[in-house]
Amino acid sequence: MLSAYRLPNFSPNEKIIKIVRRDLIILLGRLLYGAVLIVLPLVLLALGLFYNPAWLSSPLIYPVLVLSASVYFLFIWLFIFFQFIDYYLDLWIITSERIIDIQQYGFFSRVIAEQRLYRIQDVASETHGFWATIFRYGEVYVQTAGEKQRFTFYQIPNPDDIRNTIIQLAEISKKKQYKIANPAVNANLASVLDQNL
Amino acid sequence: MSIFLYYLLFVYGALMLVWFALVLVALYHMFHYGYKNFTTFFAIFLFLIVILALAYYTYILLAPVDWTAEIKIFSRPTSNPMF
Repeated sequence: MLSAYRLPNFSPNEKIIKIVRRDLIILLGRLLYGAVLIVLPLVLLALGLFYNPAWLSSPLIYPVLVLSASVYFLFIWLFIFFQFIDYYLDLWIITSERIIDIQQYGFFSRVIAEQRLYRIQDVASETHGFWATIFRYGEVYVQTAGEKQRFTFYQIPNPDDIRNTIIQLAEISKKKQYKIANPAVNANLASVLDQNL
Repeated sequence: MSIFLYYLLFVYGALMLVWFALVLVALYHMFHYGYKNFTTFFAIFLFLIVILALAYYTYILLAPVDWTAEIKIFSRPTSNPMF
């Protein structure tokens, strides 16, 4: 299992600023779908037994009903658990040095991408749709200078706050990189540049 | 034509094998990639508890069934004079 403090390529000075997942309403929507799949057959079964009580004493229909219901509800429960796994294992981690995008695609596909904050060129947030506006979730697009040019945070809560956080962290990281790259700059010039940046 | 009722258990067992393989995949993902926190452990615990409950009630409901009984299927109707 991943510990919160054992990220890939974790450096000693690096701090985790934020761990972002999709908004909880997305998970609730998926669970609601699963709940419908559980309740609907129960209702149909109850109606069937109400009109045909002889099914309970039938030597063939009763075991077939029970076995079918067992298989169905076990698979539906597994389906619900997979929905949770798909929600829970997709996450974005914002640290003091980089952003990490971890995405689980299906059963046997997992993609992890990371980008240094000082390479971020542009950050934009979007909120579209009635439910997204009501529950305040949306997307954040991070344009970078790296191989993966665009990071996308999907359906995350408070995208405006995340955007502001990334922009601030990117600015701090760029200042640090500038100082590292230009150690010969005298203290006065460095402070002037700090103010302008 | 007649079949024994326990043939249904073979079909059930085959489906359960497929299901069990998928459960192992799901648990592997959670143990390998999940964060070491309360949410992960609680989700796994809840998942297993419900499975155990479903298995238990399946057993309770099927316990009185006589699986050695023979069931006639596709039997010729005796009341029809044409047959």
